[in-house]
Amino acid sequence: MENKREKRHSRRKLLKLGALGGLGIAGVAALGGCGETQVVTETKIQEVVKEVPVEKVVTQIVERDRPVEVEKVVEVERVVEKVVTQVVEKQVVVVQEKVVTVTVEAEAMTPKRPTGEVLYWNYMTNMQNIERQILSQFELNNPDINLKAEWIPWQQYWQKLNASLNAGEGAPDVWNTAPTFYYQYVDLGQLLELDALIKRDVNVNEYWQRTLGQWRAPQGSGPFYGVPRNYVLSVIYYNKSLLDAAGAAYPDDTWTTDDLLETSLRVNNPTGDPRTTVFGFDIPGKGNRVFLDPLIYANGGRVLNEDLTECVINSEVAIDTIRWMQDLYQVHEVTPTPGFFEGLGDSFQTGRVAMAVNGSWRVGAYRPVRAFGWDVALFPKGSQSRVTYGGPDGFVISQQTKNAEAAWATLLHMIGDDSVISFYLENPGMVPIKKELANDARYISINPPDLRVLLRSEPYMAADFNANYNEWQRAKTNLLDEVWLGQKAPEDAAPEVENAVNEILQRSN
Amino acid sequence: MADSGIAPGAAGAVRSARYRKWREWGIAYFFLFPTILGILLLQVVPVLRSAYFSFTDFNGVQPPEWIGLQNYADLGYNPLFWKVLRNTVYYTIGFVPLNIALALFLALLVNQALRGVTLFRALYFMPVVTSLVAISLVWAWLYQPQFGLINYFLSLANIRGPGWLSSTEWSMPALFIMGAWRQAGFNMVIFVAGLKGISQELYEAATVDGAGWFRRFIHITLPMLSPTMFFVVVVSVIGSFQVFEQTYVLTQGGPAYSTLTLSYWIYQNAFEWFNMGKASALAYSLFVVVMFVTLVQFAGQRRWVFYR
Repeated sequence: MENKREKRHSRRKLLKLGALGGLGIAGVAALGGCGETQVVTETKIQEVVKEVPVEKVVTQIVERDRPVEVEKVVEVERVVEKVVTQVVEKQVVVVQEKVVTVTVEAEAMTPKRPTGEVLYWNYMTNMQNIERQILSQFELNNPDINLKAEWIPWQQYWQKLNASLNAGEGAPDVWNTAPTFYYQYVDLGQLLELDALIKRDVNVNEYWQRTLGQWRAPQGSGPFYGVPRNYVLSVIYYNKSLLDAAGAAYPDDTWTTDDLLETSLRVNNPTGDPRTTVFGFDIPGKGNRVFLDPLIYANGGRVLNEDLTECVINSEVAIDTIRWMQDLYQVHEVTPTPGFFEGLGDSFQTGRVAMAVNGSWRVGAYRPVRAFGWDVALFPKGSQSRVTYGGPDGFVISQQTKNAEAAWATLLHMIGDDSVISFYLENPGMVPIKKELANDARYISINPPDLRVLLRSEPYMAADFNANYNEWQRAKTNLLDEVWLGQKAPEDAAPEVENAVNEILQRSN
Repeated sequence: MADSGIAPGAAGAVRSARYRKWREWGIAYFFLFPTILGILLLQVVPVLRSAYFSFTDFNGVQPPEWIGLQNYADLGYNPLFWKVLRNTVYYTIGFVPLNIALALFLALLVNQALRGVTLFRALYFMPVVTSLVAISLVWAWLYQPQFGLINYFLSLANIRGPGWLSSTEWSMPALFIMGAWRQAGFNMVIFVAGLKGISQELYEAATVDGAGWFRRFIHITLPMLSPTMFFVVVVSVIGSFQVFEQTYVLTQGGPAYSTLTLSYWIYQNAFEWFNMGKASALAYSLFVVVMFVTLVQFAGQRRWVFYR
């Protein structure tokens, strides 16, 4: 206790600070939630001396247009309370200024008004203009933060990120990430743990719970290393015109996979002529993760074990599900084999399929479609439950950041500020992490599609995201390709997938 | 006295000659310095560093950890590595002869003294300088299994065309056919240069002796072109072992790994999955394979390459 430094703010010093310019109304008012700087016409200061046994007290140095310095205090001996009454043009702000005569440990600093440089990276180059506007609002609110933002194309993004992290300089403080890459960087120890900051500044009840849980690492239980900005998930897109023509009902919340197959068969019309061929149901692109995985779970099976450390796809349930999906291609022929529409553009967009499973990230691409009516429906139920593929996109803070508070302020702004609504209006398939924003009339009234389907789907969202998700999914896809092409039996493919995936998972464990 | 008078002078001349020589070297190296620095920093250092990385467990972010030959041993035991190597060799075997035959054919065509032939040279060269993404888009239409032009022509001959890019058997041929077409213009230009170097007297003499165009081609053009041919073969083989773009743009290595080539696998490991150590080991394996093949070609050139 002897080495503790004594720090005292005299009345004179306080007055001196006040004379510096309106006695830091900006800072104090910001703390008090009053917001704006006012013109002070009169200042009264009363001094009250009290002995207050408080465990944690803060010392603040308040100046106009300067950061508020706050110091955590270990022990308190005597408190001098000054009541500063300021008569302002519009209102009277009563500021309680606690000036403390204390022994202080100087290093701590909650909640310091953030300052310094922040480098922000995002790979969504098409969103550059909108994000610039959102960030300029942030700069207005935070004149002490020197923000620099860069939008880097996806192809170079991760390479540049790794190089800068490896070099120890030039890395962004805040960057945008997809869930697959999120876990890779958690694994690399490059992300700042955010639990304390979230606890301090975020009311998590305002956020989508399933989405948040996916960014705990490990999933569902561990700490947070990032905060989601939005979630995306897979839904069934349907072409109203084609379903109407076949007299088939639109998919709805009650649908199971049996209904999906039944309606697909009804609409299916593979004439062989490019102008008239219509397939019942397409599984384009990332079908293995977007369609097969959730179905295996919905039927009561698993792809990876609960810890996401081992592949368990060689099970009866999984094999039956793989066979069911193979039959869509090979037996019922309601689904075009992979590559069938190669070079012809998106099969749903061009009106060649009545229904298709895809991520909500396709909403933006389909919005301009005028040739037919369309909408989205919940991913159908399996034999046991309903599961849909999905996950958050969002922001993380570098472990190497020198301005964690400023980076955190940037992150919070990007997910919760009022100005961010413009981002979601441009990308309606990316559902705002804040429920309030997701239910905002400007957003939810967008149609098509019925965005409420995306909100209703959230509780069913699941995916086995872990550190090498991309790599093992690629291996799985390559091995299952032959199944969809009818060249391999599901029961032969499943053990191969399991082995290949386990090899990849074991290497990192 | 005379001797001693001459000796210092001679020694001075030798010294100044040596000085001049050093001076020349100095000046030369002074001007070469930027280039040498560039080569050192941008080529030698990265090459040595990646050699080091190939013996480490390195993710590109955290410091590398020395693991000796583990990466190479893992590759040796990985059946996928051998499949990828086979794929790469398959591409090379398909691409090189097709590309050279096409390039030589085009070279012979555009080497004629006809009006407007330079336009054709430019046209045939265009794919070389066109973005592969644009080319891939067009070829994806050509290869379209249901409505594509290639399968349409096949159907005229009563052949049911395959799903070119989506079948495990035909995806690799689809890639090397497109590759051969794309690169033909480049080798054509080299062949044209070689053809220009063949003396017309040889053709005239052969014509006088009664040789037709086919004999002239076999007995004059091909042998006289063999140094050019050797160069083209070596460069094409090296290039095709490093094939990356086609598979990156069109198939991403699928379906079922049928088009996964070494370069693309290196890229995936290094920049998608952050297995930098493994990727480095793969890169050096590729280097060894290419070097071996090239040495074999150099050893074999005595049998068929004629330098005049």
